[in-house]
Amino acid sequence: MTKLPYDDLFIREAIDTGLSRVRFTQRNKNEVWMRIEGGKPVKKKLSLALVLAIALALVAVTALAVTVWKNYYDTVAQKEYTDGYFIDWSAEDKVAFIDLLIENGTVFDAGKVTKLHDAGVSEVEKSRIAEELVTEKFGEPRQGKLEIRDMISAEIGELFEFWPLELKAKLSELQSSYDPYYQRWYGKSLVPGEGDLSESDATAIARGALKDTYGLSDADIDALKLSVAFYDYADTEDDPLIRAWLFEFYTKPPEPGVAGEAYFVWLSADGEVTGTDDNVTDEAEIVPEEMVGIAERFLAWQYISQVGREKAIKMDVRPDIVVPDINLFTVEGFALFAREWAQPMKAAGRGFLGITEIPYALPDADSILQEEALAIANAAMMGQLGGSGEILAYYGNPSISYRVYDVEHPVWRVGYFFNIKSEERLRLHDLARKGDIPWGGSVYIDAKTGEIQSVRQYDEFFANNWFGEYEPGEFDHLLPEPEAFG
Amino acid sequence: MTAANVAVGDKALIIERLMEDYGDQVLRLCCVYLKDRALAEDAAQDSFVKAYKALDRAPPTAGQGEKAWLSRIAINTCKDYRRGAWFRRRAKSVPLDQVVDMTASDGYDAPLLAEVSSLPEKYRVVVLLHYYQGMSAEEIAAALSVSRSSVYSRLKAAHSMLRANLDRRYSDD
Repeated sequence: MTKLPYDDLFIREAIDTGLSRVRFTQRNKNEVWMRIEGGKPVKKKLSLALVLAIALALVAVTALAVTVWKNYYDTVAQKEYTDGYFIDWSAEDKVAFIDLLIENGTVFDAGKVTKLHDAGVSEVEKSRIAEELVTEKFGEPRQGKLEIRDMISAEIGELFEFWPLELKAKLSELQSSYDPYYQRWYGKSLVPGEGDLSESDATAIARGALKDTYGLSDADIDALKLSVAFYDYADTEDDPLIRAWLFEFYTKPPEPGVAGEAYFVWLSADGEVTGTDDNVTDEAEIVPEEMVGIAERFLAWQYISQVGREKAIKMDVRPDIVVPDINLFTVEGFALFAREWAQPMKAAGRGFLGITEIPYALPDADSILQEEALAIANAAMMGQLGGSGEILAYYGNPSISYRVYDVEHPVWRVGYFFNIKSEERLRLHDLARKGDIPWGGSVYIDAKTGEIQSVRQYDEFFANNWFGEYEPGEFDHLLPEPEAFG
Repeated sequence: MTAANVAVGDKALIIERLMEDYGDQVLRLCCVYLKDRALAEDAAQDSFVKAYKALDRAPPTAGQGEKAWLSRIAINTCKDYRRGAWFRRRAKSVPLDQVVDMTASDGYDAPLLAEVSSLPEKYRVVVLLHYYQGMSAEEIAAALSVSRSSVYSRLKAAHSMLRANLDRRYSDD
């Protein structure tokens, strides 16, 4: 029998079981602590004065290949390595940095600068003022804390991704000169040299890969914002360096706090395409705005159905949020769904659930009562379960609906599933897999006469498809009880 | 003990507990995302280091909020690895299929895991966050910087792919 279980429990179970040997060990924890507590070598706090002295020496021996380069970048890079980002520096160092910026031509509010050197102003206040001044100059940080990339980006008016290779390489060189792990962790940006592909040749190859993989035209690609990286890396100092290109063709460039959307192409140093990928949201992926509410409610409803209400409530997917106006698990709720939700969902091409095909309705006046139907169904289901009310309780509250497949013979349908909290469901799934208990079942009752039309035990497939998530008609040969309404 | 020391001590306790409670899950999440055990270990460790540093600015709320917060950090770390040089580093990699415990599965878990891990990245990540980490569409949208609408449609597309692939896989058996 086809088994297509992919609700959260099955996926979680598959990952946890399949990767049971993958454990976050004490060694992993030790490595975390080593890195938090100073695993990086020479992570020794340095005063800004000492850093400045070192930076001046570096400046003296480093050719300024990039005209926008500021002297204080060296200072910042070293302090970032030894002390962390600007926000974490001491008040004294923050003030010294403001002075350094002034020396390099920045004009700040004179009153604020005076306060920074006023012995009567507290260190906390000086720190706050320095942060304010730095924010005024460089703007809000890209990822929470202001770092050297933000400073350079503010100076040249371009995000890091889109800097020229020369500038990336220069910053990378600077950072790796202080951080011996830099190359290992991040890869070191380079400028193509003798024997390397030129940037334009590599770009042409990447564009070709984009056309082949995504079917984009030259005009499409020209409209994208291109980020190019050329770098090499090695796992350890003993390993040989590996050199590669990464091209990111942005449909939506990144913004502070937002990653952006792009097509990615990786090339080896000799121009072989080693990978393509994207995180672009296609037009076809966008649910029409008017359908978002319905889709959201359906997914949440489905979620509640699958994991059990208790857990869903714990996860803040409250039923009153899911279905603010009705309780979908009632006869009335199902009928309202069929009347108001099913057709719009199908019309919008969101007919991803067989439930839109089910002819839910409200019961006729001459039908047997819901309570009577439930009593009949419970008795029938208990018969299937060897008369065990205890086992029947495993299935929680049955799902009851009134359906009109045939106007002459409307039916009550009562469904039994493991509609209980998720932890217990795992145990019951085990029992069901062993064949000790059914996966669930349903009872169809003639709504006019109370006569049982069918009693069915579910197999695993249907138990995981009990709201008909599959496309209508897709698995007709597997659907239950077709004979009941022939 | 100064106030700063207390804060550092608190952070240490929090991270220790998070590693204890969620270490396995975060590592497995990274493992399926990156499809490489060695990279996943680096990414998981990196995630906890980032979490430690982030505690100052955005401490999570306990319970599900905490898990979603950690998942978000882990996924963003994996995305960095996926996009950066690290992901091209194959020499020392340990592919996912070499760490899957086939003996522990009961016959269908391994195929399901394989199918989940073979989904294209943008679908794999929503499946992992929604079904493995229990995050809501809202939380996933925030974590991935995409619209809720995209989350829904990617879940739907992922379902379709899983369904088709699993059906084909079992038909072939």
